[in-house]
Amino acid sequence: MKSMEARLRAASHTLALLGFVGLLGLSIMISLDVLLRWLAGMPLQGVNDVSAVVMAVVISACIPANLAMKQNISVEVAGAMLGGGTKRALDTFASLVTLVFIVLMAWQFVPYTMNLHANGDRTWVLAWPVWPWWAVASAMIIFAAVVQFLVFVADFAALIRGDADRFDSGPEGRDPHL
Amino acid sequence: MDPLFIALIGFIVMMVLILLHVPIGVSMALVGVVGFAQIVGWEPALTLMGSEPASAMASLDLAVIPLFMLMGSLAAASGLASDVYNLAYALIGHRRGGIATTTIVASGGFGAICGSGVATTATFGRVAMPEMLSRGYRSDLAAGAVAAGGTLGIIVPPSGIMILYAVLTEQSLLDLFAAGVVPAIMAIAFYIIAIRIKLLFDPEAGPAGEKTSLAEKIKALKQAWGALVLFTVVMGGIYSGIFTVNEAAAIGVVVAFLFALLRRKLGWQNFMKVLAEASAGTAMIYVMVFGATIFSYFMAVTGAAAFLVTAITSLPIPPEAIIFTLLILYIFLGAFFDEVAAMVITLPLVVPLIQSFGYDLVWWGIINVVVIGIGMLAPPIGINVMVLHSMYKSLPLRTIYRGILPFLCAEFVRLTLLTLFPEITLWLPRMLH
Amino acid sequence: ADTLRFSSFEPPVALVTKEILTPWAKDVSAASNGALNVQIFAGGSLGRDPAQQLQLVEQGVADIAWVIPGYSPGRFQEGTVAEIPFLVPDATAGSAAMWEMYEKGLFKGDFNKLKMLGVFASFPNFVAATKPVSTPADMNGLNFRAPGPTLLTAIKALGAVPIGGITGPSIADSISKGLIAGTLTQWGAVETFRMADVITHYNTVPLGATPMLVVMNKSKYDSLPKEAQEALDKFSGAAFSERFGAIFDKSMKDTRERIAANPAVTIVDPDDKLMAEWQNAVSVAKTNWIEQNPEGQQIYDAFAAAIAANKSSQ
Ligand code: NA
Ligand code: NA
Repeated sequence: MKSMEARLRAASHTLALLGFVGLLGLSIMISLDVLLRWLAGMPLQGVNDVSAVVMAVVISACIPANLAMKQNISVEVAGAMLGGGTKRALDTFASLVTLVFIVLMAWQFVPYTMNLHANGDRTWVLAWPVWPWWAVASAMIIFAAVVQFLVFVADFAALIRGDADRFDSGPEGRDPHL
Repeated sequence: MDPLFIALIGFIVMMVLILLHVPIGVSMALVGVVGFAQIVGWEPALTLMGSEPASAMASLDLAVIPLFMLMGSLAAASGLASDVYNLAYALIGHRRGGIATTTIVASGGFGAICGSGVATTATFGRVAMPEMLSRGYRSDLAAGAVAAGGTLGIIVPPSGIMILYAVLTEQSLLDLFAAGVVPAIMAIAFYIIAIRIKLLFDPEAGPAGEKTSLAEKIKALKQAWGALVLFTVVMGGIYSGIFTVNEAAAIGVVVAFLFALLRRKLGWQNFMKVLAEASAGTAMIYVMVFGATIFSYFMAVTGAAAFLVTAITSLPIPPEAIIFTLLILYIFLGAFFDEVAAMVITLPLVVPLIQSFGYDLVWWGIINVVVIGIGMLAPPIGINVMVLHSMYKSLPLRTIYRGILPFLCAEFVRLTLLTLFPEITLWLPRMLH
Repeated sequence: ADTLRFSSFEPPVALVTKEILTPWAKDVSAASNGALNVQIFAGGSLGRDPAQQLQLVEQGVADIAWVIPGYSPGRFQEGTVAEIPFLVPDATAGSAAMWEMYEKGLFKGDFNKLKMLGVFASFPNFVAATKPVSTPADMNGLNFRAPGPTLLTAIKALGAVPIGGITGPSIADSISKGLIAGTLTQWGAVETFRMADVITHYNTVPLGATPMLVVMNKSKYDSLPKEAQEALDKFSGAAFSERFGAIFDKSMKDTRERIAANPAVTIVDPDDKLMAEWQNAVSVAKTNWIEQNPEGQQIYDAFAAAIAANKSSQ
């Protein structure tokens, strides 16, 4: 169980990194577009088309790691005041609710993507079909749901066993201030 | 059931979930969906869990957030912060309290290429803190200057908070950045004055640094060219009207990446660390945006916002009093709640209210940034203080909070001025139009 | 009373929402003798994305929505006939003709999946640029934004470079940064999106209108009591087209006067000779449309006839 969670966490991490490599690529493309517009007066066609679909994949790629590392903004005053056992119980509860959230999201992303496929939605200028990008995004969200399930199981196990703090990302890890 | 009653229950359940450790974005999204379902039905309500995250993920306006995050992380990794610090030190370090002032000015300069308050605090916690302590600075002044300087990460544009606010309230990001300039200069000036006043009472707290020769000044200037180029390209490009904000952010990423490569600061390990840092922050913001959007649809469909506006505006109280009540409420909420969360949660109710008073939403955005900055410093949980404490475990929290006090006073003065005189904020964006 | 949620992505103060949809909702509610309460959710408060408005109605998030079919390519294909250059002279004739086409059953496909309350055409889009554009040749090589994917054909036909994905609020910014040299648009949008500060040259050649719909969820309509349905019917269809056209055109006239008052602005109203030149330059948009749509010629002819009839009746 433990190693499974660790492996999925590593996989999430890699996904997020790949996502941001994509973002770097996107930045290079946008910069090139600006340069060409300036120097040659001939911009690239369809930069915004590419940006929108690539962004969907970039962001969805970050979500599994975000859940695996518990990096969402939360208020943990109650746990800090009430201490050990209560804190673990609250963390487990929060993991369960987060699981419901991501499962709902994964469930709704499938019909959303199928709709795009059925309607044949395309990007404006390049007329790329949109659905393959959203299929990738949906797969990431489904993977995120699996990751969150294991996070919940691990939290629950820690609660039963009465472990010390299972996970602490420190103040920087939960920085809500961007 | 009366929709208003559903709205009230929804709000309470959301607060309870948040207090039970459930992430804020998750709480807002789930309560939003369930509440929406009570009024509109389950099937349409559930589709919000697909359509709203999807439109946020493909939004080019929101795309600015990950781009600026990546730029800031790359800039920090390539050592641009130390360059800015050295330059500021060469120019003003030799005066009494000079290194504290240097820290503030350098944080402001770094804030102009980094959109995060915590990243700024952590960066100067590494760069400036050891300098001050080794030169006999009292640890409270040193810690106060670093933590307060950290708030300049969000106060000086570009600012992650401003981007989030602009997206959630559909305001022009360019206007918000422009509106942030004068208040940011005020913040730096007020912080410096706070240091001077502190030194009046306690002259030994911040001894003067060594004087630097002209040659050393020129050397520091030459070394800081990377930061200057990045700043000029990004902010100069935006304000002079050469690039759109998205383009500036993308070019900033590329320029910062090139610097990191050229300076050989970007080993494989370090590159991975930078990407991980930026991606973690990004997902956090997007989850919050998903929740905020869905929750705001719930509030809209119940008519709660409209009801609240009518109720409050019919009270025989001047708008100014209501604005100040709101500010006190936010600062009070900040004691046990996160200020960013407080802003996001209350936006669907507060924005229509601010508009009904005839105030500019760009101005309110800047006011929110000030309040959030105060929240980053104020006890019991000032995130900047926590970051600094985690870096210097031997430094007691009490000492850091004592050091912050003068800076906090400066922030309250600034908040009062900006609230009473919206013109200070709105002058620049209007001039640019 | 049944409450109907009417979604508009426009801010509550924008032309169509403020002057057309909101009064319409009030009139319907009043005529229903308390059976209906049509509530406007403006500013995207039920869904921010203009492209998502149709889905809002299909999924039941909203009961009624103002929809720009151009955002859902392929869904209301026959209706894009209004986008063909030189067909629609103004919103009044265009909207009357659009409803006639729908009523005669010439608009099929997705038109039948929803309850159509209004089928309109905007005032025709024309050239708004930062450079003088008098002849079609002046467009050559310029970066241009089109308000919808199908207007791209006209832009390409003129040898300009089409730029997509620029939303209304970012047009002015994109123009002042030189990302685009201009856009095809109409007077109302020039003001709404603050383009008046950056655009100096207008050429009112009618390069195609934007189709617009007010749609309702069919099963919701069917579930309503007779009194409520009658109130909706009374203000829908031809009557809604008339209301839409009159207010839209009046606002175009007023806005044009305000914009023309700026001495820095040049407005070209092309004469017959110049018109013919433009019509010739963009004729491929018409031929393409007729070729690419089944029964394209028949729909085109019927629409042209409906426009002609409504023009002469004014
Ligand atoms: Na900043
Ligand atoms: Na705080």
